[in-house]
Amino acid sequence: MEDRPSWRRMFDAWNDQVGPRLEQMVRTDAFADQAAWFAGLNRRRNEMVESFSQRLMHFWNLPTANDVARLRRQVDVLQRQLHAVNKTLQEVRNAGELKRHA
Amino acid sequence: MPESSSATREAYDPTELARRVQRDLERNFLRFRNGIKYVAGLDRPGLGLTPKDTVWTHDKMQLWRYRSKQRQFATPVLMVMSLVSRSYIFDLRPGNSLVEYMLRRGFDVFVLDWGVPDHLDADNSLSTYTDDYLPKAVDAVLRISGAENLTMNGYCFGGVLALLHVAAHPDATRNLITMATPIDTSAMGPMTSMTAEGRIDPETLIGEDGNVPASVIENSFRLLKPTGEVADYVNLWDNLWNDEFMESYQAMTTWARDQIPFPGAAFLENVHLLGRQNLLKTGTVPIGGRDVHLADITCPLLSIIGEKDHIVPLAGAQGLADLVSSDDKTELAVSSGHVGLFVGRSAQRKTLPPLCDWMEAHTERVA
Repeated sequence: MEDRPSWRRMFDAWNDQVGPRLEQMVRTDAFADQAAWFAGLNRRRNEMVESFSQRLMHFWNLPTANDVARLRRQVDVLQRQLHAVNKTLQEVRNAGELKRHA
Repeated sequence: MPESSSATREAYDPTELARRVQRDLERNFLRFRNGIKYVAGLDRPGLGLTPKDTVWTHDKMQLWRYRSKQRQFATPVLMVMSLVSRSYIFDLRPGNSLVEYMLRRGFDVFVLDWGVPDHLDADNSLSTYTDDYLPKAVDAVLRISGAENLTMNGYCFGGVLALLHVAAHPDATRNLITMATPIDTSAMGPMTSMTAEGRIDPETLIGEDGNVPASVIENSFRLLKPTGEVADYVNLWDNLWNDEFMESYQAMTTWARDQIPFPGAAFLENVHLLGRQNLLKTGTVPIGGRDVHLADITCPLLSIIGEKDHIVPLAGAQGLADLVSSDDKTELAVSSGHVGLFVGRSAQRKTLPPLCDWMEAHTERVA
């Protein structure tokens, strides 16, 4: 006798029918176009809200999240450059030590 | 007598009915108990438990060597993970671990863990991994094991890194294995089509720290199987009473939701070179200021492909053998999914034995 409960059999039947169709659908160009359009719309909406709040905050001489993010990015770039210089220095130092041992 | 009427009679048989009621009561009690444990986060299975030592570190990378008293082969194996997932999948749970299986077969196993990238890694390009990190990790493996060369085994995007590394630095690799590695990205579906020319600008996917956030990676994997999450929860409810199922379910879901950020520069290169231009399929990829040719790979190659892989579909993973110059090359298609290739019961039957047989045939025994 079938051991799976009836609700499970119903779900599996639905999933067998719908799942592969949806998987096919997300692989189509039409879906990619729609999803990209929706993502773009979302981005533009966020930009509009940010630009409005930026104008408002700047009017009161207050920093916005964007200002903080911009500063953080600049600090990150500096930190990365410092990290790269440190790495190079360490490698030069290691090579020097190896030469001395040789 | 027709089967259906016999089944109906069995269903209304009082003894059978009592047995089913008792079974369902027991299961519901176990569901309640396991459900509370699951929601409260109790009894999480331990992951990556095979004893190991961290034998080398560099930046955020760690090189793990797994302890073994039965090493029978002189050539060590270096496992290379993708950049967006955690490497403990190679050693998921006791009894369900690729590493454990390889150790049992007598191999000296190393796993390279990339670590979790942050803003300091945002400038890491593909060349950082193939020309800087991997050569250093290979040197460390050879120095620690005392071997002259190794077997490199790359999984998913880790396979792409392994291919590009071996093509550019072929000397130290005796054998190359790729598992579920994308070659023809035009067959990858939404993973590449969304960032195709004129759709989503890949720069907009990069977060504040200069990397692609783990949530973006996770959502893009989810998109590939739209009903996957619902099916997972239905499966969970159906098997919530089963302790063994719960352990493997929690292990797998923990790993599947444990994505890590994709370093920004490497992601952009990946989109432009491998996604939009599909250059891996042509066999020549310009990275690190020069062209890297897959035809420069001459060592024995084993490419393992999942026939039911929804992330790197069969069509996207085939054709590697035609791009390399190796005389000894094998493409092994297994009836498995992306992770099921080496995780789970069927992997223990279908993939791991031929994988280790191939490695045995291509490796010298310890003298």
